[in-house]
Amino acid sequence: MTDCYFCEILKGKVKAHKIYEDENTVVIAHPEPAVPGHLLIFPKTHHTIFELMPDSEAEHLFNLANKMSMAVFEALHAKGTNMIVQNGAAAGQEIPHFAMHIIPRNENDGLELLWEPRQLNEEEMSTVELKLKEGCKNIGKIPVPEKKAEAKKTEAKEEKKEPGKAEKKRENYLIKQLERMP
Amino acid sequence: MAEQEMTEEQVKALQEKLKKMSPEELKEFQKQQCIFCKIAAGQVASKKIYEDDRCIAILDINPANPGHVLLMPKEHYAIMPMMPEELLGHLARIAKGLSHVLLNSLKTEGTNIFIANGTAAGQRSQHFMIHIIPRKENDKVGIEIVSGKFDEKKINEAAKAISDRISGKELAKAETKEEKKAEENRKEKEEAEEKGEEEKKEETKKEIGLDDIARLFK
Repeated sequence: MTDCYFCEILKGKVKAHKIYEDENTVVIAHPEPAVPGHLLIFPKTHHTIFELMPDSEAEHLFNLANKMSMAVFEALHAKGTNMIVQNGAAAGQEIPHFAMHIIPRNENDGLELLWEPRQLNEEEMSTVELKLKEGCKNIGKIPVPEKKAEAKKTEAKEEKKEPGKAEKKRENYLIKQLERMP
Repeated sequence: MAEQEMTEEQVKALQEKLKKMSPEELKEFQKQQCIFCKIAAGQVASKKIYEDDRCIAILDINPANPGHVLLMPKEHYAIMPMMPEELLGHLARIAKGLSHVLLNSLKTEGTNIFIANGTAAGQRSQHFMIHIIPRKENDKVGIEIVSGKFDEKKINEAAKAISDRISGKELAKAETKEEKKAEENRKEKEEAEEKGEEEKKEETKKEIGLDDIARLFK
């Protein structure tokens, strides 16, 4: 990727104020911050959105974000921090490389990051609930290859079982026939 | 939770009681007061969409958009820094899964993952949670990060303070404290010339620990 701002930073083509760097992750000071101390954390690997990131990287990034947030509290004497991911252009993502914002907060700092709460009717809520419940059944079950192997094994077992079942059925059928005999 | 009005004596008695409590007792007390602990325990009804042994995801009753999900640990933690790494990692994994479900099941075009630490950041509950908010183009949900106009010097100073904190230079600060004070004085003068208000802000800055932040939610 050549056009990605974060990848350019990693390559050293674009200057950035690096705060922290490890094997997988980089933290920089936002070049155009909402407030001074506004940080960006992103993985070194180019993942456009959250969903494409491996679990291990996501876990690491969240924990690192937590540590950065603590550093912001202590270093800037902030009274709060916001951590925000803009996942997808509709959510405000501008650079096609997953990143998390850490924004220091203070009372009356003039930032408006909160939404207007809405009130949905019971029907709307229930519809959404049902859809999401169904979708959530697969959480944590999709990307594990071992489980697929297991699934295949069980399928094979079932195939083996089937002839046995057929025999039993036939037996039952025969027995039933016997029973029907006068 | 509707706050019941207490007499001054009652408030004092409660404050005394809280002071005497051990951290364990305090945690237990917070738990008893916390609506989300009750939801996690199934004592209060909610629109639960996901649950495992460590966390629970429910629909926000006052959503930013339909499908606004709250993901939280079952165990009571007032703020993120108090959470064990492993649990936070687990939440990150589930948050990713939930975001994926929102994209798939609701045909949304994006999601915001939103975490507020401290009331100044908009944290309203005393139980740590991650908001996962489905987004569509022009949905007018007000989560916009707008760049402010700041002096480059200020931006760099803040960035430096954070990196110093992380790299442990903070420990060696004692020696340079005097230099810093001199610098701060200079800064204050400069700011005073520009704005009187800015100076006040500097003065109100105090050392704030994690406990202080947690205390806001008692």
